Amino acid sequence: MPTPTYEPLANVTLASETLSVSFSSINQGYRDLVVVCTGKTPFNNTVFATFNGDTAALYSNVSMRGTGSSSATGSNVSQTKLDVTFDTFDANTIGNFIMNIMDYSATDKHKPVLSRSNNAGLVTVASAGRWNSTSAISTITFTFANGSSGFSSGTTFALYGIAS
Amino acid sequence: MPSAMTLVSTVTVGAGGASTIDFTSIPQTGTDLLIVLSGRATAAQQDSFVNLSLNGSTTGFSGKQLDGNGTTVGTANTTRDIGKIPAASSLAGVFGNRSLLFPNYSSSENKSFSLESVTENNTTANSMHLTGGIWANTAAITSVSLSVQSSSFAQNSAASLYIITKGSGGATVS
Repeated sequence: MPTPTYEPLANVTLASETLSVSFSSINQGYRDLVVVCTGKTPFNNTVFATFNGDTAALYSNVSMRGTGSSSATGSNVSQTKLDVTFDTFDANTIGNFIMNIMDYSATDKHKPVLSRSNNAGLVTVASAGRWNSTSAISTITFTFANGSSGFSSGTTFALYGIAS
Repeated sequence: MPSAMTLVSTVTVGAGGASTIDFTSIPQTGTDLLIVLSGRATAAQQDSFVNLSLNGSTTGFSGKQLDGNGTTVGTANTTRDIGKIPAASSLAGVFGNRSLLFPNYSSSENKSFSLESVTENNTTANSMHLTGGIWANTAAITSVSLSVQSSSFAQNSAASLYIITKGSGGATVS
């Protein structure tokens, strides 16, 4: 029997509108992490991620997007948080994002992030990001928009570890 | 610790091809559904679209697609097609791949999905598609059927269906 490598680590389904969702004390025994989220937000805006509570200007990304009528690409450098969904989530259509963090527990490299984010009524997005830090990731925190509004009730977040 | 990802079934197309690849009686014990396809079509053309139906339904599908072919980038609104696979006139031995994820496939919400597909055959018919879609149906997904527009799947096309099971706890909300 092959050794299992894709393992469930944590999960939450929100019972009410929630400003912040965090996975903390993340098991350092895996190679990569995968976060899967599905849900809605009170209005159209973006989901951000920070690692280990770091809000310094250490996050960069490049993205491409298609709305069905227009396509675009963009980039951001030295941001204080990582844009994960690029205005994908809204109140009308259930959206999802999948975030892959490679070598999250390494202490000799910056942390690369690959994400896909989808809203069938708005846009599909692919992005590549980087956290400019050699620290192992022990906490991931997700917030919405400006942090004063939250994820809608019923939104789910799941964390998985991929073993090496 | 048990694995979150469990192979439910693999279908491999035999000699003579197949009009559809079907997964039925999908266990409802998982959280997310992952379908991986390696496909080639029998039509005498460069490539063919793959169509998706869920629980026998061909309606309620919509999405946003971003695509590129090495020359141009485009975007389109989609219904139930999930990208192209090489067909009989393309380079021999080349199959197109796609990965289709349905988070919360057994929930009572509409079913959003994320799709990545690619067809590379060393010709101008190369393409890749990224799609964010939805099946506007609150039923749990119990069956999946893949078909090829105006064609069939060629021998050695193969698809696998996995269920991914979430963990419990471990998250802090505020």
